[in-house]
Amino acid sequence: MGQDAFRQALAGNGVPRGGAIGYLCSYTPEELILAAGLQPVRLFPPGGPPGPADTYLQSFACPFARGCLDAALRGEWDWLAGVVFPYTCDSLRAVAEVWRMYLPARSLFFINLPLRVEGEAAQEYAAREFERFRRWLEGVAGGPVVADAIHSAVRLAGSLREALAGSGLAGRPFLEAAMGAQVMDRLAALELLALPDEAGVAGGTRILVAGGALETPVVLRELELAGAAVVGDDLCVGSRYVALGGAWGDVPPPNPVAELARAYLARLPCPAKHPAWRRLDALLEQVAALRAEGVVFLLQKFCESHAFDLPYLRAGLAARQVPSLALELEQGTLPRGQTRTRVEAFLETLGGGDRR
Amino acid sequence: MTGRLKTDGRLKAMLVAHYRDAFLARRRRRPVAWVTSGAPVELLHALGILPVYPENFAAVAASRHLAVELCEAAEAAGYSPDLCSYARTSIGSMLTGQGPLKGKALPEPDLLFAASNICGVVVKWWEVVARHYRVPLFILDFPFVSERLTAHQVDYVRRQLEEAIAFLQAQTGRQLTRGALAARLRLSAEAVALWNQVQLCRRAAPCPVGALDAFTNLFPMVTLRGTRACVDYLRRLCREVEGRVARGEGAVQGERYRLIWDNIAIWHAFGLIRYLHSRGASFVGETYTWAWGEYEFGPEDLHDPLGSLATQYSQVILNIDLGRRLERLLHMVKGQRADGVLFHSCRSCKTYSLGQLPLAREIGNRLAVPSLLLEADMADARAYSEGQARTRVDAFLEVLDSRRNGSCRASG
Ligand code: SF4
Ligand code: SF4
Repeated sequence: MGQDAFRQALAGNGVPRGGAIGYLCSYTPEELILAAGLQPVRLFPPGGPPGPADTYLQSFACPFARGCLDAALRGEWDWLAGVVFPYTCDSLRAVAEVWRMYLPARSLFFINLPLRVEGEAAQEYAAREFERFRRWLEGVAGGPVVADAIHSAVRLAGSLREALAGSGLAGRPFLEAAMGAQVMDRLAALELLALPDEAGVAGGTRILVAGGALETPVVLRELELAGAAVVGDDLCVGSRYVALGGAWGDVPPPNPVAELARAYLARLPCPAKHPAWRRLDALLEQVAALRAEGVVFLLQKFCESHAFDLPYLRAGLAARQVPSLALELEQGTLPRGQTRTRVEAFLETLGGGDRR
Repeated sequence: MTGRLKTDGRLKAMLVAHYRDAFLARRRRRPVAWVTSGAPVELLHALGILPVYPENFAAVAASRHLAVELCEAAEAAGYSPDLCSYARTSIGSMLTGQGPLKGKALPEPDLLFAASNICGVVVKWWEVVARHYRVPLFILDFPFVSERLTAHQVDYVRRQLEEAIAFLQAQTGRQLTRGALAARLRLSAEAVALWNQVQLCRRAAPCPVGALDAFTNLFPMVTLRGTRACVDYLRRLCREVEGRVARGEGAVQGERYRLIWDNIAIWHAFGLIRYLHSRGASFVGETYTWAWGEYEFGPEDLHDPLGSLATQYSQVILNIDLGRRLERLLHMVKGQRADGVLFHSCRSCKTYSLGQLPLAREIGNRLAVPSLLLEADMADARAYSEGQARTRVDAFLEVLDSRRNGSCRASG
C-alpha cells in the first residue's frame, strides 16, 4: 500500500496549489467541496512552538486551534482558495473570528452547524446550512453545484471511507492513510488503498486510542515505542471520519443536500455535540470487537468537550475492567521520556497481550 | 466616597429568599430547574418553575472563598483543572454535597435546562449533571450569529422553543398559557428598561455606581427577570441612583479615571476593585452587566413571543461575532465617556476571553483608548495574584495619567 505517498501528502507534498478548500473538523461535508470540482484539504497545523497567534489569542486556547491560526498568519495556507470552519467548539470559533478580522474575509466560510444532532428541527436547520455552503462553493468555483455532481461526490467519498475501513490497517499506518487521504486527491487516495498491503500489524499490547483532533499520526510513535500495538482508534481524524458510512446507491436521493446533512448528524457524535450519551457504548463495542486490552486517551490541552467526557468514559470502561490512561498533547506531540514511562507503566498493568 | 448602594441590604435579603425558596420548593411541590444564565427564563417563570443558577451559585461560592475547595473536589474526580471553574465548582459541590449556602450544595433539580448561547461548556456541564441526578435535560441550541441572524436560525430556535414548552409541560404537568408568557415578557421588558436606565446614569461624572455594586446588583436581572419582584427592586435601585446623579455623588471619591470592565467579575478578588476605587478609578460600565440590558421586548413582540425570544436570545454578547462585539464595545466606551478598558482575561471562559486581544487592539486603533489585559479567573483563585494585578493596574493608571498630561499640553 502507498504508505509513503500518504506520508508525503501529509507532509504537504501532495497538495495542489489551486482550487483547494481547506477545512477544519470532520463535520465539514467534504462531498459538497468535491461536487464543486474543488479539492477538500483537511487542515492539520504543523505543530511546534507558539508563533504569531500569540498576539491574537491567549495561552489557554487549545493548541490545535492556535496552531491553525499560527499557520494561517504565517501565510502557510495562502494557496487555499478558501477555508471552512464548521461550528465545533468555542476555541475554534474564536480562531475563525480572528481569521475573519485579520485575514482575507473572502476566503472564510463558517458553517453554523447545530450543536444538537437529534430531532427534525436540527436536521432541517443543518440542511439549510449545507445549502448555504453549497451556494458559497458555487461562488468560489464559478459554476453551479448540481445534484448529479453531489451524487458522484458522495459515491467517491463513500468508496474512500469504505476502502479505509476495509484496508486492514490499524494504528499509525491507518492514521497515516486516513489523514493522508483527507489532504490529497480523493481518487488518488483510493488508488493507493487498492495497492497490496505491506504494513502488517505490529506486535505489542493491544491498545485503542481515543480523543479529538491530532496534528500528526507521528504521535502514536511514542506509544509504539513503549510497547503498545494500536489496534484501533476513536479519533475524529481517523475512524470517526471513516464512520460516516458508505456511498449511496445508483439512484440519487431526491434532495441530496438534505440527505447529506442527515448522514452527518446521524454519525456517532463528537463530544462537542449533544447528546454525547452514545459515546461510551460505542467505545465499549470497539474495545470488544478489537480485543483491545486498554484505552489511551489523547487529549488536546484546554479541550473542554473531551475533558468533560473523560471521567465518565474512564469510569464506564473501568466498570467493564478496561483500564485507561489519559495523556495530554503539547503542541502536537507527546512529551518524550515522561510519556514513555507512563505508557510503559500502564502497559505493565495490562500484562498479557501478544507482546514480543 | 458615597459608598455602596443602600439597596444592597435589600439585595442580600432577595438572594437569601431566592435560595430559601429553592430549598423549600420540593415541599411546596414547585419544580426546580437548573438553568444557564443565557436561558430564556421568562418561559420557566411563566410555568411556575423555579430556576436556580449553578453559575450564580459558583459565583457566590467564589466570593466566599469556597470555590477552590470545590474545584479541587471535582479535579479529584477526574475533571481537568483547565475546565471552566464555574463548572468545576458546581460539580465539586454536587459530588460532595458542600457549598456556600449554609454549607450546603444547591437543591437537587427536577429538570435541567441549558442554552448554548453563552458557550459550549454548559452543554457538557449539564450533561454531567443529568447523568449524576438522572433527571431529564433539555438543550436549547442557539446557533452562533456570524454576520447576521438568518431566518432559518430564528426558525430553528423557535421550533426548539416549541419543543421546550412541550418538554417543560410534560415534566411538570403544568400548562403554559399565551397570556402568562406575554405577561412575563412584559415584566422582563420593564426590568430591562430600568436596568438600562441605571446604566445610562453611569454616564454622569462622577459615576454614581461602581463595579462592585453593578456586579452584585446583577443578581435580580439574571435570576428574577420576568418577575414583579425584579421590577420592584430595580425601580428602587433606579431611584437611588438617579438621586445620586442629581446630587452629584460619585461611587468613587475624586473620580480620576473612567474605566470599562470586560468579562465576568473576579468574584474572589473584589479587593482589586476596591483598590482601583481607592486610586480614583471608577467603572462606568461592564460589558457583562450591560449584556442583561440587551434583551428588547417591545409591545409588538408580544404577538409573537417565541419569535422574539428566539431573536433576542440568539444575539447575546457571547453568541455574536467579534465585529459586532467590537461595535458594542466602541459604543459603550464612547457613550460612557470612558478613558480606558480593563479586560479580565478569564482563563475559564473561552467564549468571553478569546477575542479580547483583537478587541483591545481595535479599541486602541480606532479610539486611541488604552486597555489593560489582566490574567485571572472568575472563581479559581489559584490562577491569580493580587500583588501582580495591583502592579499592573498601577502601571496602567500611569499610562492614563501620562496621556492626560500629554493631551492637556497639546490642547493647552
Ligand atoms: S481539540 Fe477540542 S478544543 Fe481543540 S479544536 Fe477540537 S474540539 Fe475544539
Ligand atoms: S465557559 Fe464562560 S460562559 Fe460558559 S459557563 Fe463557564 S464562565 Fe460561563
